[in-house]
Amino acid sequence: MDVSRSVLIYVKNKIKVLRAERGWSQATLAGIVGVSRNSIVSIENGRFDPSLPLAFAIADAFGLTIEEIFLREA
Amino acid sequence: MTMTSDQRVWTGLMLVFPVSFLISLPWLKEQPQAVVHLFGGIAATGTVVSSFILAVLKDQNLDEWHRGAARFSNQWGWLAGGGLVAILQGIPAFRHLVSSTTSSIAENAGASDQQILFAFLLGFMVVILAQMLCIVLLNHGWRVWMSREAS
Repeated sequence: MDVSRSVLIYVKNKIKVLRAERGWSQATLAGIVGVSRNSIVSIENGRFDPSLPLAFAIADAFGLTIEEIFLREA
Repeated sequence: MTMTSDQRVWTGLMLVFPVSFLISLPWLKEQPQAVVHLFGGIAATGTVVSSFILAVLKDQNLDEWHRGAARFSNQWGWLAGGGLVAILQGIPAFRHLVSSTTSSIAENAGASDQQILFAFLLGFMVVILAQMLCIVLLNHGWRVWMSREAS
């Protein structure tokens, strides 16, 4: 099975900026969406792609849509 | 990740069974074969059951990031642990440890069924412990790597 097309999509996000705008710590956001702070650190740094349910939970926390937070890297 | 009190208890039990088996080897070699089978069976069953319960307890508290760490370390830890035992065979100090341990069990020439059983169980325990060590190290390495600050 050729999976190279699907795994070569890189995703960046605006979580750090959005969090700073609201004065939230990583732990605060982690508490709101119900995951560990490590999850938020890794997602912010672009080293870990969240699942779709977690992406929705993060979007809900900020009151935005997924597309407004997660962007396909050119 | 911090462990709950339940997880600490089952982690302790998981380690107690193989360690108590290794410690009791000098006593076991004096015992009849039925006792060796019974003791080995209890140790193996206890390790498997406590490992299973610990895995269930840990799984209940995992978010997807921790599942990522568990997936990575489990995928590579078993292989790395098995490989580690093979690599250790090439180290003279380890070979000496194996031969001296075996000699302490099999004092007479010509291995009996009991001695062969000991050697097999000892090898099994060493592989399991090496795999556990590799899983723990890889799990920690994955967490550190994924949590590092962006450059």
